[in-house]
Amino acid sequence: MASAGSGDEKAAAAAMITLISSDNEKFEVTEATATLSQTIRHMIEDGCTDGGVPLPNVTSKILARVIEYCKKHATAAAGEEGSSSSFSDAAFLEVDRAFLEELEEFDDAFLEVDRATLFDLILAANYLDIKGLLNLTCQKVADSVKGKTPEQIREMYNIVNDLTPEEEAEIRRETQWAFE
Amino acid sequence: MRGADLISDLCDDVLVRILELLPDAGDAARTAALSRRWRGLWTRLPALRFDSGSRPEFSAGNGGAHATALRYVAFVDDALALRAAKPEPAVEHLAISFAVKRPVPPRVVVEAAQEWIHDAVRHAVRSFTLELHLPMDYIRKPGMTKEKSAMVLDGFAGSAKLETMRLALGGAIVQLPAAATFRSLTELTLEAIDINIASGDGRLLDRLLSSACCPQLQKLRLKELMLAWQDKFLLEACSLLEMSCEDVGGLGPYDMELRTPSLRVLRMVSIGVPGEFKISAPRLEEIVFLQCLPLYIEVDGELPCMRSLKVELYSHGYAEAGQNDFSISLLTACCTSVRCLDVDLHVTEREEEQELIDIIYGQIPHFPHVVSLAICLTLWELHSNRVGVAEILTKCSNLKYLCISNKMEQDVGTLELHNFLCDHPDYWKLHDISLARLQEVEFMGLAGTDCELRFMQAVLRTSTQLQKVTVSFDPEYMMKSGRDAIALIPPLRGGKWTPRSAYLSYEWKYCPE
Repeated sequence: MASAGSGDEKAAAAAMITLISSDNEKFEVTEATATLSQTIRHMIEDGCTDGGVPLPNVTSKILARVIEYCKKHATAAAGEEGSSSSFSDAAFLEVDRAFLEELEEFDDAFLEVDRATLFDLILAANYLDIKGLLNLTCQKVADSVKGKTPEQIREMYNIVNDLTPEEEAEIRRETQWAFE
Repeated sequence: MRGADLISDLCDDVLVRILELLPDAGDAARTAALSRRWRGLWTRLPALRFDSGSRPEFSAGNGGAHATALRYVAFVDDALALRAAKPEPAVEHLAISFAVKRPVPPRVVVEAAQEWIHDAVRHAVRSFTLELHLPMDYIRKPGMTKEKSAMVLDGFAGSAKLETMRLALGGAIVQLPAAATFRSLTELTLEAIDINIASGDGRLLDRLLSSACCPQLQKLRLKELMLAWQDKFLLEACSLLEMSCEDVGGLGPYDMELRTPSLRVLRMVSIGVPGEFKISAPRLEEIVFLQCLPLYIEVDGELPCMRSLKVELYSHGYAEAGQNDFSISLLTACCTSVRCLDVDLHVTEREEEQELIDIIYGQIPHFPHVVSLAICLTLWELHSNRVGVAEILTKCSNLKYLCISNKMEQDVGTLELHNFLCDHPDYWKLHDISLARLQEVEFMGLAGTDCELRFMQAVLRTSTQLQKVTVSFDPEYMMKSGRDAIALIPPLRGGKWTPRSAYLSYEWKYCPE
């Protein structure tokens, strides 16, 4: 006869989700980690995660990184929820600050990737709908574009200019204020 | 050989998101010239931000400041006109920041700002932020002709789309709208504004903030406001939940009245020269009230929902000066409900000043439900008899969490070794303090004087349920006194002391055998 305790344990064990990458590698993660992805959250809510969640758009290399991000940020989210029971604001702020700093360091280190990986991470974050990761990776691209001329941006990202000289002149006329 | 164009592989939504994260709309607009793919992307941005601070020409010297300012104004105007010409998708969020240097004429700023506020209404944006930074000498001085430099926010009917608005106007003189309404506005911030009340039709601020004008208003923040020519500020806001007032003042004393039946959170810091202060807000849960000394106070009824209160008290004062009156009336109004109490206690006992009397003793009500108490002591002298602290502690007999932090105002450079010894008697009465339920205690910023250590020991000994104690010393004072911090920590049975990562900070934890 199952006691309430073992029932809880069963629930905890059942709360693991298997993610399957495009190259068929399996990753077992907790539900808390997986549900940072809105896409996966909806699949869980619809009850279609038995037998694993196939992610045909994400390679194992990228999925491993995405999971690393979600694990770290899932602990962060859990920490925030649990922090309302103690007392002194000062003590909390200290803990929060230390934790936020750690999270920031993690994010900075996480972004130390080559450009191809960065874009793969953006694609994965967008597909899996992980807001924090999408913002983090998009911000890195935005920072690289900031204050640059179109020529510099084209050079940096190998963008081929397929505008005719007339079209480009018209665009520049239209947005002249942005070039002054 | 060229590498692959990876960025253009991203879908439009993601590229738009990247453009949204750029600090200035100019950055986004320039990407239109990259390629056909990018051409129309920036016009899909739901949020436009213009930040003069992110533009290199604004950080240069004052040379050409006028021309730079005019170019920036034209830049914002052109961009908004371009978006207005292509109405879909609409601009939903607009933020403009404009830092002006001398010798840009004030009228350039005033005209541009008026126009942008009208633009925000015209574009039917959902959120609007306008932040001006003006040179000091643009701000009102006696004799300045107000008609010429006042910003007139009138001539429009208001907006039914606007949900959030922040106007930080750099101290400019502003005539508020007399008729506009904001049906959907839920959050409003007015900051650094000299409210200009045209003679004869005062109360434009009262009108703007009233339920008749902003029926949905939930959050209101007033900061650095000058309420000139106003003898009363009446706020009647039925839906308001949170209000913060900071550095709001008038030319002379003025009365303030809040009729806010839904208000939950009230934060008032540094409200200059109010006469009468009346408040009717029976659902208040949180109050912060610092650096405000109204002449007369009226709290309508009790405050049965109060959870947390932060006030300041003075340990000593001149008879009849009434420094503590407002704080005491707040404490009394919510003493039966409040659970979290935070007190800034100014210790002003000076033995040489005979007229100073204890103005705390016998004034503090009982707080049967307070479980968490934080006291920040501002000490003007190294030694204190701590009567005020003791008096508050005696009224909070159900405390679980206590934090006492010291803020020393005496210049550490003037102290000698012998200053740390003390021979004055302890006036606090230990037998009155009963903190049997105390679980966590924190003493911060200790200078290492005998009187504070005696007080700390007394507090720790009154409790039998301690779980955790944290003690940290002020490094500057400890360096001066030459005392050994670890030797000053009182021994406590049932647990052990360990150093924390912060310098001169120790923690005791209960650990049963």
